Amino acid sequence: MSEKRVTPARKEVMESSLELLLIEIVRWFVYGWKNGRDPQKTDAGNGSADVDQIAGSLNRKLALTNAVHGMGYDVGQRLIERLSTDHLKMETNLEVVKYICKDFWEETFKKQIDVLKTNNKGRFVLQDNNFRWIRKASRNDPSQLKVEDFLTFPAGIVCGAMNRLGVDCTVSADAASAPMCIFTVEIAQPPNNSRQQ
Amino acid sequence: MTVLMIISPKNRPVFEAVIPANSLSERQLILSQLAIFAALDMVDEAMWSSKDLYLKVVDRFNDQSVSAFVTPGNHRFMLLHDARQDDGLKAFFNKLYEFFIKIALNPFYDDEEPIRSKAFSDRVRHLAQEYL
Repeated sequence: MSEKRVTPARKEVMESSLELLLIEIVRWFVYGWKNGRDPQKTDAGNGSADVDQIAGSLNRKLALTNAVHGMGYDVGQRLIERLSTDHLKMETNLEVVKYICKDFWEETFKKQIDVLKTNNKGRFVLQDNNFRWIRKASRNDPSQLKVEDFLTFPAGIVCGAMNRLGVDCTVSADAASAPMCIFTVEIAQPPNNSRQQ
Repeated sequence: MTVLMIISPKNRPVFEAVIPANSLSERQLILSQLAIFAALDMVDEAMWSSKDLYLKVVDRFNDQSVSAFVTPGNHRFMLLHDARQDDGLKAFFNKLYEFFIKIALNPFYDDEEPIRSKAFSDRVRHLAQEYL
């Protein structure tokens, strides 16, 4: 039997297709999948249609957070399995976060985290001054989409990655001054932790 | 006669292989599984003392020894083997790790589920024949 390469050569994809896919995922969830048309384009209906739309949009925001965050979570777990192969063991939570800020961010978003802050009680603030996936997002678009919506997927990725490395946490994202964005990681603190701070 | 087991982060056995296949009686198989699970405690201790992923021999059982390899995601690959066979084990575990990553990358593979892929078990057996 011929010697097969165990690890396939890295395949490459146009980055623009990834960005378009991410944009469309968020739009799909925000505008609903029953009719994937923009609200501006549907007929300006009567009052009940508007109420329905508002309630619908709240539900959709929830669906957005849950589903897209969950998707990011799965992707983050798999990315970590793949990317952390050569890395030595990380013993403290801080080492895990530093790994995420440097190697993981470099592989996934092509740069490292710019500023890392912690309050030493399980809360880490990761600041990226020019987040790659939202560089081209417009800031004052009057549609229902906000820049934060596009950050649920990356937040899910970080959450999944950290959970896979053994750190139970929740991740939230903030894009007040896009393209600079801030990810806040809150680590659940058990009463007696075997992993030190 | 070697037994390989892969144990998930939540301590569920995800994969098991006996090499060469079917060479163990029911009783011997259960004893081997017991030896491997008992060695998990030693793995838990040993994994903090070494920064390496490959922990060599962590425990002994009669005339056999148990070697372990811990992934960053806390999956443990445990191998129960004869005492003298520990030369190519590091390379074996690294290759096994690569196969395992392929399974883990599958979006349809849920965490903690047993690995049922025939391709995976064929590859593992082939690898075992080369290295062991």
